[in-house]
Amino acid sequence: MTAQVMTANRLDDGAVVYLAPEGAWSERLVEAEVAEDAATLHRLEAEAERAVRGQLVVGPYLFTVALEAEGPRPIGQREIIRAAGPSVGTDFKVVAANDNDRAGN
Amino acid sequence: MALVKHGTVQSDPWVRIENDSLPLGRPLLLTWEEWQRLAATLRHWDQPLGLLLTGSDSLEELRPHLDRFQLIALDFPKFTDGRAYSQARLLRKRYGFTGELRAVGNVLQDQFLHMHRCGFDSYEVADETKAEAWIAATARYSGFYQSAQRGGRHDHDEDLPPVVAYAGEQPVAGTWAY
Amino acid sequence: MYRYDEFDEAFVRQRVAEFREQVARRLSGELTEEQFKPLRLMNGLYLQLHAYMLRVAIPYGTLSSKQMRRLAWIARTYDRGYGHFTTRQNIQFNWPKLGDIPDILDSLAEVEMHAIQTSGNCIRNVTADAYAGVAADEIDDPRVYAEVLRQWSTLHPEFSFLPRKFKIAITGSPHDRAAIKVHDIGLRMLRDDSGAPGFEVVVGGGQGRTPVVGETVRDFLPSEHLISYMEAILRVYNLLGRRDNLYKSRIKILVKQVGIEEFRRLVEAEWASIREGWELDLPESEVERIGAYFAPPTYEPVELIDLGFAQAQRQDPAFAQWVRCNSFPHKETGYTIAVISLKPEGGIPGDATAEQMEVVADLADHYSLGEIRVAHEQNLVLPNVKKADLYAVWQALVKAELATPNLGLITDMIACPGLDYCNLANARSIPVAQRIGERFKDRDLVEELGPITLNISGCINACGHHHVANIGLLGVDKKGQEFYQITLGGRADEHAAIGEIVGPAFSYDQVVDAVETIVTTYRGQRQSGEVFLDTYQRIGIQPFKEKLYGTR
Repeated sequence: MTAQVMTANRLDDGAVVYLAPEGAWSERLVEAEVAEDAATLHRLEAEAERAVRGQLVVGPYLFTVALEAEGPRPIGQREIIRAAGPSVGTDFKVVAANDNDRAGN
Repeated sequence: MALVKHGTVQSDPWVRIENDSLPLGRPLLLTWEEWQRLAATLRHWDQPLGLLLTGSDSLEELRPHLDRFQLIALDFPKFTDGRAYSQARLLRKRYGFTGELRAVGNVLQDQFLHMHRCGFDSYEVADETKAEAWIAATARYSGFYQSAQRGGRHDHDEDLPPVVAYAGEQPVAGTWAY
Repeated sequence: MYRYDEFDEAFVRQRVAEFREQVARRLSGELTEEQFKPLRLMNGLYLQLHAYMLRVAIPYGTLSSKQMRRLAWIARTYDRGYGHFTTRQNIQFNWPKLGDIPDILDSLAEVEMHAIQTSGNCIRNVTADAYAGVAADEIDDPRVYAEVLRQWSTLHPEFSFLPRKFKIAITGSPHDRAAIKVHDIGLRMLRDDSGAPGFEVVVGGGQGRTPVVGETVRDFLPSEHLISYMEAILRVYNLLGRRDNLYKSRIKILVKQVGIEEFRRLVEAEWASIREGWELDLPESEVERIGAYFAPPTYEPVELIDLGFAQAQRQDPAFAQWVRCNSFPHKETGYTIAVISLKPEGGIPGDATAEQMEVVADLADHYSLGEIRVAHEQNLVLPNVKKADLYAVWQALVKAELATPNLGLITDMIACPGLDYCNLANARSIPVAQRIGERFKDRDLVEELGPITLNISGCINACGHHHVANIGLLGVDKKGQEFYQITLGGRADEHAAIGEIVGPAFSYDQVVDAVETIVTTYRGQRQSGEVFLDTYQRIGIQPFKEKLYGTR
């Protein structure tokens, strides 16, 4: 199977988050837990379902990633933009998902 | 399930036809199809009759029979299906139906106000806490933009029914005038 | 401008209080996302790609300087210092937090604004000609009726759960600047033989995946019957519109399905029943009450020939170009309508920073009787500028990077937020607009090309109005890659037409070249005095196909 990562938007501020080990939700894709087998996949799904019920996240889903030395990399354009922020070339994009110090937090 | 009427939880005396047998001595709620089939049989029925309508049932066909019914229940198959609002308003304002108008199906508290303003006066809801929610919902606004709304911007509709106070609350809307 | 009285004020406050409770119920888990979604949408709150997005209503595109300053303050306080003006004359904030929304709405209520019905399957914010009340070519001022419609449609108990969203646009000029023929209902004001005001009522227009030019359901509706007739159309739609298929639920599908004749019969029958049953006509007193807010301001008499204005244009060619491109005739002698383009070359169509909003608010106070308009082309308008003041206005705009002279020209693009922000998008819109802006940054060339509308949508929902652009770009997804389908010949005015697809889609990398090829083809074929649409209509689509795809 292809490598997959669970993502969602955080209920509180709508931020893009990825399911990391031990049920944590991270704004950094590099910290996401990557599922490469059915058992992990189901565990991520169960964890996401729990987070929905616990008012942590909204609309979780899995997406396919490529595995690279630095970590998982999104393949489709939509996930690339979700991970990196708007590509509109202004300073709005500096506050992207890979920035620990996300504005407004 | 609970029945909320006038801001209080009330018991529901209405029953449906089950296993093709008519329950005696109880108010009877029929679908439009059942009514068409049983109208002759029920000619001398001495208990109140009610009608359960779907969004696609024709009000025009029903019109001649309207005075046979003490209750009309309008169905919200999904809360996003808003046909029953138009049906309610037509029944009240155009056809002059004065019996109980009940919202059934996916009836949520955030829609109480719209339903109330369209003429509904009873609500089949998930649980008994919704009585308080109903009181809060109908008391929230001091008036509305649409014409003929008592307390609203336009106050020129003289044929509003008297405002009824529910459970000690001050109602803000005309009972079903909108 | 319309001003709230105690009733409006209390109403909007009560609406905010209601939503504050709904947000609390969502955060506590009492409401699931599925239950909350329609409630938040009715207050203009979306969950987009990276964050929540709040769409604030700017009723019929009219703003006071005070309101604009408040929008700037909200952008700075709760967002990232900017806002996005939309084709529905609204403004969107891209980064608010859910818990802050009730406070933002309270702040808006202080300046008589709200986000009511900017989304959801209800009657949306009514849009109007951005030059309403001031345009030289206007027959009647549509703002009075736009405000009547705003009030009538707000929290309408019967029409808040329609099969689908419902958009109404209104114009008071024969030249349609409000795109009324691609709305669910379009209203064009006119007068009958006796001079009494009324409306031509167009119904069933729309864009999206099934673009349709609306058809006239009534040639003349006396203005006092506006509300009862709207109720008749909405009731027919609410009861008969399809609810089984999202893509077939707009009124345009119902009109197509039963035919305009039958639809007209249904509406007229319903209207007759309404009129014999209960009174829904507009009370004259109410029209007068609202109309008083829109009484023309006191214009200062000005010199008929203002030599300074002419001299400034002679001495400063950049100013002269901006005047040629970005001003529109005012009904009052000595005044002009000045349009502030939000389409700088390489910029984001429709975006303004908080600082820019404040500059515009200050200019409105000093030079435009405190009033601003939002045009559906995503530009801002100073509706009441004395020609004698125009040079000072322009100089201030230049400083704020708001003086791009491109109104109605190829770089005055409409673009939806696209895949950079939007959850529904298949492809990016903004970077394509930015690249086209870069390609066409020679302002003299752009002016020489003449009026060309170029609109970009990131998906088939067509928020970027690509169907009705002279050159329309539609983003599509091909196996995770962005492609753009091009249509030619669309227009959104009184001769509204849907563009024709020119051929297979172009990749993200190719699409700007393709646009240039279209422009080059037009220039090569253009005859004296022609604008793009004239040439296109004369030569047809074939020469463009040949240049784009070669002769096969």
